[in-house]
Amino acid sequence: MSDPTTRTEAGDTAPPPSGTPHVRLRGLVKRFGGVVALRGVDLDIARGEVLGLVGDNGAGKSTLIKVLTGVHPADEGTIELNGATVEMDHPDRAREFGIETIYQDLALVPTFDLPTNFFLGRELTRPLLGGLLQVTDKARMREIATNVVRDQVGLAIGNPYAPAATMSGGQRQAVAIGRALYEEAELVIMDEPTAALGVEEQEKVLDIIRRLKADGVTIVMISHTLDHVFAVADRIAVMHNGELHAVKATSEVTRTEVVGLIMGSQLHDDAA
Amino acid sequence: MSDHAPTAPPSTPAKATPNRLGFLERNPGLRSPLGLVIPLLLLMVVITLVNPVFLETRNLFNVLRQISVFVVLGTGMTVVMASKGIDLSVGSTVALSASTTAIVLESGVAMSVPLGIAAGLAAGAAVGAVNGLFITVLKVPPLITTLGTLTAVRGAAYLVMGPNQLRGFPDAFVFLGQGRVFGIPMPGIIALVVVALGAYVMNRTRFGAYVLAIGGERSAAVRAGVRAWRYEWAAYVISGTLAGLAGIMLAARLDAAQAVLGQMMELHAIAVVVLGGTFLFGGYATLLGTLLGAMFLGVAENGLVLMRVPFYWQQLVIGLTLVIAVAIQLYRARRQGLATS
Repeated sequence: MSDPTTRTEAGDTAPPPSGTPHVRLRGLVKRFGGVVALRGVDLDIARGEVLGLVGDNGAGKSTLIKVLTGVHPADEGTIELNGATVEMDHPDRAREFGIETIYQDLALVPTFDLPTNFFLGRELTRPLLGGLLQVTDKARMREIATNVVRDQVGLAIGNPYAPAATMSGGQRQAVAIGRALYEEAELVIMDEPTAALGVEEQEKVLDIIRRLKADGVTIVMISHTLDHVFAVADRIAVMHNGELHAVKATSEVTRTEVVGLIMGSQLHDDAA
Repeated sequence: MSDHAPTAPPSTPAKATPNRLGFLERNPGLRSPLGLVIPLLLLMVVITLVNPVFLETRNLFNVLRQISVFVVLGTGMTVVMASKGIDLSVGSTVALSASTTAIVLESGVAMSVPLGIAAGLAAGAAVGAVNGLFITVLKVPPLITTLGTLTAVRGAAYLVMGPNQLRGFPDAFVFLGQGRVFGIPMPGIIALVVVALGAYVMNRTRFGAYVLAIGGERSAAVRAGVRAWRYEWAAYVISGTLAGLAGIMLAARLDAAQAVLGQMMELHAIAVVVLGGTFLFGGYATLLGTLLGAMFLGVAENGLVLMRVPFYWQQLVIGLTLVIAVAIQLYRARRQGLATS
């Protein structure tokens, strides 16, 4: 019922599984001053699939993600979620639609402790003076953050009172991931989730991705580490110069071919 | 970094940690302000040794009345600074507020006292709203915006008041500056209520958390869904309104108002806030620090007077205190790994 609607110049398409796509992007254009970061991107993302988003620096991967999540409203084009057109004007909106993002820079406030960062934007409160006032419930946020990070991410949060700037990279990453998991999002976007981690931690992240997939969560993963993309992704979308250059099923493409696509080459012949 | 958690029930690990951590580790935000306590006590001891008049009730109450204005101004400045901003216009706003209130008080209308107070607060809020508009919507940097409004508002105060002085206000109004409740000077009570409210808002509400978030890492706050412009604007309205309150307190204490009031008060307020530990570049604020900072500077100035040091030394002290306090703050922040702008 759904057409192979991922169009590219080269005509490389791998259609998503049928059914209304979870996300449908059409004609997305984004300019920053004189620079055109996205030149008309069309992409369907199926519910429950793991889509690897790859491309060289400046190809537009991060911009595409930011447009999808409302950080930068698109200049042209439409975004459909579950078949309905949505105006993504603010990151608030993305959260409303069950989209959670784990950013490459982790998006943490360095002077805040990790539990406060965990709950940034959706703090828990408790009533004071018989309901007259609402006070932020720091103890409960500390407890939940500690538990989620320990149980769902598999890491100890460390000192929950210390500012994030003094915590280790792994602890900060764990909180950024735990934060996205806690909301039980329908779509989780990860920007370089394994980049700053050691080997054991990278495996943990890949396990989390596999677990989310088993739970039916749609995942978009930006990564420079093709090994990881090939380990978990169903399809690989290659961006080049602000365009969606190719989308291939992981099983139908080799690492070398992907590297070539990243650099802009066309794939001649073979599978379509 | 993996930790194989004990098989205890989920709530236990969260409770176990606080028991192993000391009070200061559980409240790291108190480190800076509490660091002022001993220097403050030492200062008081030294001054008393030189001139025991310092400890007399009359003198201490005088100090309390004088620092009250800066506690109120400092509270507003703390909120603005938390958002990574600055408000240089508060001294001029004090003058505008005092002038506006005085005009209403002298106009002879019915209910002149509540109306006068409302007018003064409204004048302050208006200045804050204008600041917020330029900073949030037009994206003019806070330093430049409030430098401009500092000048413009001073002009507005002169337009409202002329070169004259108005004096002799209704008793009910003067009570705010000269009266006492349960023996405590009224300005002190107002200041304590304001700073306590400020502490509650900044530490215990979502509003305060968002103001600190946009100051600490604005992009993180925005990506978490925070509508940054609202909180930034509100911070300046708060600062302006509190400056309006300060103007009212000053006019009540002096039982007089003129357009020249409040000169250089913004610098005094900034010094007080930074001395207390609030980060000049946003993300961390302590109202307890602002209170202690105001006490420290107030006691220092009082000490200079009691030791018969010429008046201009006070300028020197305030100026040097500001720079040294910022230097210490930056040093500590770098050591902790907190990046500064």
